[in-house]
Amino acid sequence: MSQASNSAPYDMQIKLLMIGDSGVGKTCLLLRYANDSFSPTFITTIGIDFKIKNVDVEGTRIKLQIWDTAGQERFRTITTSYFRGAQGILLVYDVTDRRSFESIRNWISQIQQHADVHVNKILVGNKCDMLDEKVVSTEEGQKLASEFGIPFFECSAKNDIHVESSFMHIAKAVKDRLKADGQGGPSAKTGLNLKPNQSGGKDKKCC
Amino acid sequence: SYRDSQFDKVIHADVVSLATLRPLTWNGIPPPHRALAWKLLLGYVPTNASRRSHTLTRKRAEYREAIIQHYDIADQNTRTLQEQECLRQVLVDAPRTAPDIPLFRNDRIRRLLSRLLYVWAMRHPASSYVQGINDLATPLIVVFLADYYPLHTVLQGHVMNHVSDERLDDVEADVYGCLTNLLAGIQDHYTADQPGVQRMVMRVEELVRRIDVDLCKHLAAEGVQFLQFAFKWMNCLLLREFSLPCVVRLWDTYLSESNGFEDFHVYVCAALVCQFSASLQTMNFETLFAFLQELPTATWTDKEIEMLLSQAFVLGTLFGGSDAHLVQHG
Repeated sequence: MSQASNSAPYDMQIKLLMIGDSGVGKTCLLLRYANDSFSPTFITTIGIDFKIKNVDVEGTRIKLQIWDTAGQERFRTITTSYFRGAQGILLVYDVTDRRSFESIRNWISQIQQHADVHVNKILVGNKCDMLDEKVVSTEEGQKLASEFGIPFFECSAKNDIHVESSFMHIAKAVKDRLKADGQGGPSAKTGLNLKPNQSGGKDKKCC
Repeated sequence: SYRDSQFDKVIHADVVSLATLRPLTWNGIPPPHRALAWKLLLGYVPTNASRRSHTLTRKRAEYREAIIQHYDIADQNTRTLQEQECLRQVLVDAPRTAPDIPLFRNDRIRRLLSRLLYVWAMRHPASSYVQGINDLATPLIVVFLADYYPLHTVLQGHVMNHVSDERLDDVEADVYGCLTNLLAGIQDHYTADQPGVQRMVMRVEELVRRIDVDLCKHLAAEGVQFLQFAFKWMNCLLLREFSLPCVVRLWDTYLSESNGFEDFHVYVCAALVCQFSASLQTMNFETLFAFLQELPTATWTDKEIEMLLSQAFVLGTLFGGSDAHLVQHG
């Protein structure tokens, strides 16, 4: 049960957010990572959901609070309200769906509008197991990631390819950034239960 | 039983009196009468029995025309970009609708669902298709199939070995017509920014504040906002919280109320959250969020649903008409 892992001691808490078009497999990636499970027909996400995962990154015990969002345009008002306060964002597309790849630029501009300036980002191309249906090449993915200066992974939630390494990569990047900023000690953990539409700074004081 | 025979009399009258039917349906509709009762209460079939068969034939034919006009288009390039995107979304979501129920893993059912959702979206461009509307079609599909086959045969999907294409087409048309009428009452739940959903969440929060201020204080102190958990309750009308047979029972009562999917639903949601008040008040942010996201209600039966409905009724009696007034000033 998640309650047991919730109470595990940790040195730092990090809030991650998953965004991308509807149907690219955000929930499947999260369930693969957090629960090590996969179902080909998972139910659509409405609004927002979240999971907790405790990890050890180079000796730092980190509690990852991972927020999963609905991809459909109509929910944009509610989902973008969760952008502020996220410390790392996974931008997900589906390598078998070019539209979802083309939407990444739009998602980047959503981040620029709604997220914190220093938020870490990572580009994830999901469903890389479906070789016959793949329409977005690895090179294209890499090129776009380079253009925005962010790391890139091709994953498969179904076959468990690079799922863990993607999450670990962004967790480490956020950890390193927070440590460099002098944040991230145990004292910071109370400040990270972020509510929508509130700035991080304001939130820390309220606790 | 007496109730069944009473129902028989009312529903088989030459002209059904909805005013007599509504109070009877509040406590649950006997399964043999459910499909017809829902169609009557949703205004899909006329109360005058002699006109019913003709109306059904006409509506089913109209729906078939709409499929040809909107769905059966050979050249996909004649669709606008918005139409292509809507079709893509519907086709992505059909297999992700109630996948735990075997019936909804059937290809013919998925096609039925895709078609009726897409046709509905084309006819309602102000909202178009929004995720969650697919969920709302599921009780209608189950109830209308269960008019011809036993409920467990329907849910288990065995029904698909027996049902003819013609009959399934009729069921599809009826689901489309009833879903259209149901959604007409809650249209602004799915338009831009979903003002209806936002308003309903505010009403639930205001109600809970009046019933259980300690719970509200605890949620606020932990940083949990009503919108975070009640959004889904409004957007999918609790389809994600209860088993499908329980939702069917819930809807018997919603359809009995004059504005059940809007007003009475608010009381049901307030009663639902207050029911767990004691445990909720012991939880921190993360446990609260996880609990409210996945309530321990999946195993509920009609008995628990009927308790909830009674509590909601009491709330409606106590606060009816006054909470809407409060929200305007809040």
